Amino acid sequence: MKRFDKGYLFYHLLTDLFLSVFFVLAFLDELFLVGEEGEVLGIQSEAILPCCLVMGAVYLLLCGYRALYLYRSGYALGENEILCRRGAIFSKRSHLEYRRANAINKKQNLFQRLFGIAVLTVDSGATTQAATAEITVVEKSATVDVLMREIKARQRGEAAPSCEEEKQSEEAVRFTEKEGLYAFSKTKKLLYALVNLASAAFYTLIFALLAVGGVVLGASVLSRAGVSSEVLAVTAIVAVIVLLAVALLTFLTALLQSFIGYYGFCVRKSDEEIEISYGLFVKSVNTFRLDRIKGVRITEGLIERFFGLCAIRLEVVGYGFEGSGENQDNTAGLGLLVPLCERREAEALLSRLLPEFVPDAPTVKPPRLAPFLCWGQLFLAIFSLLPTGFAVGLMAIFGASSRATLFVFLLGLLVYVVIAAFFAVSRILCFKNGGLAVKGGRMTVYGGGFQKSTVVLNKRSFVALERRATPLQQRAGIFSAVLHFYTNAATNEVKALHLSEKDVSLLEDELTV
Amino acid sequence: MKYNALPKKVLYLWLLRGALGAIPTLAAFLTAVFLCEGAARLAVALFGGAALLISLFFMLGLPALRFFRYRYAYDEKRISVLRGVIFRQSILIPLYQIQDLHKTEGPLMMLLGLAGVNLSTAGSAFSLATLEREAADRMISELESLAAVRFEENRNEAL
Repeated sequence: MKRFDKGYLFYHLLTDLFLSVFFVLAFLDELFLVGEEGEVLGIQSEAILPCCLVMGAVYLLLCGYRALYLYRSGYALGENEILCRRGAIFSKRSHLEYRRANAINKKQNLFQRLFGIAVLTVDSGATTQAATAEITVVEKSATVDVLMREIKARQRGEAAPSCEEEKQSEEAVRFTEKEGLYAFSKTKKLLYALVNLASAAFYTLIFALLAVGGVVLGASVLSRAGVSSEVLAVTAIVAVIVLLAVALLTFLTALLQSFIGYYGFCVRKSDEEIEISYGLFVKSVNTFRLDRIKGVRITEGLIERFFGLCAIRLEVVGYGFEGSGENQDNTAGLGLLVPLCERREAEALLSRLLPEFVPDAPTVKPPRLAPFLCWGQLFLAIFSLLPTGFAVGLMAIFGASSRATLFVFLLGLLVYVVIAAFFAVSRILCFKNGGLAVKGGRMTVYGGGFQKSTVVLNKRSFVALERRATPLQQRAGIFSAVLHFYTNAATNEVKALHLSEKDVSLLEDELTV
Repeated sequence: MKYNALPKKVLYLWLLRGALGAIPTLAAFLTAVFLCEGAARLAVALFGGAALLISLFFMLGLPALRFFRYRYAYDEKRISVLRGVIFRQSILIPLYQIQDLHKTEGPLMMLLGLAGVNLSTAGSAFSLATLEREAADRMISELESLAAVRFEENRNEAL
């Protein structure tokens, strides 16, 4: 078995040094001489040695662990399978047959690039914690590229091709920032950040208004003299500051994500797989076999819809969206096919990339009364008003002032009204967005309230159909169909809300016979 | 497809489970009422009593209602389960999607001679029914052979 590259050790020697320094920062109070008013007077010389000792001990411990991990870990490409052994104290040995490998990914962060190493992960999709790949190999970046090619070739039952052969065999559907069939251009990146900013600002504004309403209500109920202008002014200022802070933070995060996280975003397609690569500091190359792609999800948030924009994701076996363990790097971009594009160009893009997943126009729409026939409002009322009733009852028993009791009651009512309004709007949007189309080997499910989603599923990946209804809906002949399908993401179901009995029966026949 | 009801022993099992859950809840409520005094005792008695009644409904009343609504059926192509009281569900699973079948028996189930039949598909796991032990064995072996036939048919269709 070949050991991981030594760069693994050097990379961790550097990152662990930072970790040890951070650990020592916890003892800073002990290190500095602080005056009565909090001013720093100097460094306590007798505290330097213990601090260094702690840092050294932590660092040595981590170094020992990394060295042991490197010594005890390794990999081998066998005739039919990949072997991998990992772990310093608890060793894990994995065997993965080439034909079972679903996703082959390469990841490289800034420090790893400094040492010329990369992490190769190969997953069969057997784990429910999707990002915990079965095979993880740390090798030189160039070696990882060779390994990726070799694994892919062995999957096809061939010998590993040379770089030139690999390039020639790739179909010429290639999207880069320069070549531009789909370009995640600077303008789009800025737009992506602005859309995120607008979404965050919209929701923060609603919560800020609600908070201001609560404060005003409290001030008017509790103060005999009515609302004092001072309270109002302070509340408004705090709300504006929070709003601006959240908006700025979101904008900066989205800007960094789009310009750095999705730097050089590139989607390539060959006869058998799709390769998505992106990232400046953390460079990722994610490879998905076409036959393991189970569906495509087009999402449009409330603000995106105003501008006619959307994002496209892959529903794929082998990797979900959250990492853990050895692969706890950010995996949020996994499966993201197009971060932002115009809704009208989504179909054209899909027809080039994955023609079998182009959405069909809905042939079935929800029945008319559907959004209003639900128990959601009743449960919402119970769960929102029950705590209010409970609090008011307790206040009455313990003899709280009538003004305070009235305030709590009105506040509870306000919260209920806001939630109910939100819920009602969401239901109406669900009704408006809902729809279904079954055509050939695929299903297109339209749905979602504030966030509209269009899911195109391969009928072969469907595993069960669930029909849901409350007694009221059942009497009115309205049902929701839950389609269970095969991926190892956290949720492997798609809901088609509000269908008539006839449509659900047709769907049942279509999918299970 | 002809739908079957669950055997009556399942109702006893669910009620027994509910009762086992109700005992600590009742004990906690009585202890709280006993320990509190004055207005606090009144508050605990009123609100705790209301919460206790709701819990008892969920532990003892709801299983009974659930039992009378539960139906299952299977034929050579699919399995169907009808369940739920407030939110009613009808689950349909094509036989060729079955990955594996499981028989489960807990201590209470063993006491009543019952066994649960569960199945896993590639995407989800489903609990089909709790039956008498022999009936569960029979159901598993029938489903096994039906699934094998269906799988073969499906493969031929694909070819």
